[in-house]
Amino acid sequence: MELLKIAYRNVSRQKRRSNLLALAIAFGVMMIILVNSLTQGLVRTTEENFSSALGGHIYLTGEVLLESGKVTNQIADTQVLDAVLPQFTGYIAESQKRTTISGTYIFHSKTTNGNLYGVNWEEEKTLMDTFAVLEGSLDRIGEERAIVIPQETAEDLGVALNEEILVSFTTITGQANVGEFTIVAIVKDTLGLGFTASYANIGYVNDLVGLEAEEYQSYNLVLNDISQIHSITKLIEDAILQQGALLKPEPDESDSIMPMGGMAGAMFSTAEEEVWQGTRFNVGNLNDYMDAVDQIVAILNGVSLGVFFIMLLITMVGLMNTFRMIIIERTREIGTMRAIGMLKRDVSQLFLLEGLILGLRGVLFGVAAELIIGTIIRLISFTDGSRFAMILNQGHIAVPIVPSNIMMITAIIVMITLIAVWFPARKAARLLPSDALRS
Amino acid sequence: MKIKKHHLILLALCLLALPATLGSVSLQDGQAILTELDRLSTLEGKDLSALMTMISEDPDTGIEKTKVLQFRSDDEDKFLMLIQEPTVKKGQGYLMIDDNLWFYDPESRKFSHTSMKDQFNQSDANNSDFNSSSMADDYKVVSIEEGKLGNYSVNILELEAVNNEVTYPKRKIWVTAGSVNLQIKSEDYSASGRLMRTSYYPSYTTSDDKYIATKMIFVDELIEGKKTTITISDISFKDIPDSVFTKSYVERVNK
Repeated sequence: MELLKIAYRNVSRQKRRSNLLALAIAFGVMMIILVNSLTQGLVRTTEENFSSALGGHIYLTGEVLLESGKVTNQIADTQVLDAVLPQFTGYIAESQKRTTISGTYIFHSKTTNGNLYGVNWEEEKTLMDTFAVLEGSLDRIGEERAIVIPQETAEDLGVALNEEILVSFTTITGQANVGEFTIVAIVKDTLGLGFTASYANIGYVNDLVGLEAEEYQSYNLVLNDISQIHSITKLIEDAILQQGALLKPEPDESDSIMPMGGMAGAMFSTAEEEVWQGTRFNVGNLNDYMDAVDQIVAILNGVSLGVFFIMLLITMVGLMNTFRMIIIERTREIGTMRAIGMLKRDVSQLFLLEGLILGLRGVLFGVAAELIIGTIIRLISFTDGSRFAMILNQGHIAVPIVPSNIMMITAIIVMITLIAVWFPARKAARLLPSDALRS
Repeated sequence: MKIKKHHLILLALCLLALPATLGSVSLQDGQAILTELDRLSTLEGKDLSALMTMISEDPDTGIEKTKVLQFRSDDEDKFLMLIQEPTVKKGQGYLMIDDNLWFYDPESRKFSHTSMKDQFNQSDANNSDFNSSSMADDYKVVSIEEGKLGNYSVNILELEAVNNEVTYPKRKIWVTAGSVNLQIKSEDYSASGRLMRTSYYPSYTTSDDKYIATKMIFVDELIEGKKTTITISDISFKDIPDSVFTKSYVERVNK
């Protein structure tokens, strides 16, 4: 304890040098914590936004082979999922059956493109809760041809509440069709990704695309714990196979087209002729869409790690040289301490403690700086519809505070500091009192 | 009940008037008309090369003029369309071999599969409009009546698709009556029965007993003010080498 007090007093004697050294350490600490927080925030926000846009974490879709040889996107064997999904009730927070139209919205001479989701309003209470209604009311969504459109679509078409719009698209077998809808509500864009989507009654949408009333194109699941996404996906696949149903094989790179997952419209396959009966299922999850983000995050983490190691190296070299200078300056002091009975071990520990205090001070400054800068970044507001919507959390950049990161970085800095100071401290301890006093 | 004499005369007059309203063409005649339409427009033993000028009017984007070289071999069930103008789209191509239709993008130098049901070059014409007609195979006649379209006496046929290969599940076509059956107007309906497109074929050219429309007007009935007018010129019926209907040819002409 005495040594600690002496070490603290010694560090405080040279305020300028100590603070500069601590600031150098603080800068490195701040940068690495900030970059880690930004990348973690990026991943979490993107996951949440994609999950919201795609309607869940796990997506079950199906393909049916028609007699004509064409493949349509639909889940016809609903009894398979009715048997499989109850096994996972404890993992699933919410589930949604959807039919999707990708088409052209038309109002007189104006057009815009977008997705239209057919939903079962009685089962999608959470979706309704997410709507920020700007005009109209959700009371009428039960009407057969009611449609809820996003503000952007309304502005593109120049439409108002209660007006009728057309949606032109192709059915699951590729025929041209037109749906007529009445606008009952205009909402703020719910997806937050710059994509627009409208919502209508799944019964009417099914009728338009050529599905039976009880059929649907996708079954989306929201999990209680997103970290289990991969394991739950695998379990669902196994359960589907146990029901005697088929799973779609992994796509071949030679296929010339990408399947339109869960969208109305016939899908043409140029792969070798495959024949099957009933619905062939595909179980996808959020990770399928996160590849690009994961790559960016991996690059960012790699770069920040590299920068961190360089800064650690610089810090270590700086600390080592600084303490060499300190020891040279305090040689007589060391000699005096040794002369009055201080042991070599105590001299060594004294300098180690001084280094430790400097390191911890730097970590403290760095964490404080990161918290301040992180708060400022979180306060920056991006306008609605920003091109960065995918990585924003309600218009703000997410900079989460991750205690484990801070603890890990603290431990690393402490270790580096002790290593850097150890050599000069050992040299100082080995000084002969007589030589030290004579210098 | 005693039937009075003047009642019988009245009944006879009504019966005489009926044929004028019932029409003298039957559904079987209608199906034969479809077969004849297909025969007149399908080039047998000869190929077609032509220059197609397409004027697309869109209330959003304005007027766009596109020039397309068209090559067609009905015997081989192949066609090729190569866009020549505007410069920004020059080199884009549509190649049909059997049932496969490919779109070529000279920017990426890649072929991508597309559908006969898709719109051609974002116009009101569909890819299938440039292929030989197969209405007799794809549609059945559900009603037929005689009528007039301008100065022409026509048969008006209502059609329903018999397969999923066609874009429009329902159609109504006006076909000239008389010795030559030519389609001069059609209305194309969605699966829900909404009129989506009206097409006019005001002029044809002929070679032997085959007829090729030299002017086609497609009016979008969903989007106000949108229509496409296609004029076909520089028509030639000379044989086209098979090598033209290949992906390598399309890539070569874009080098």
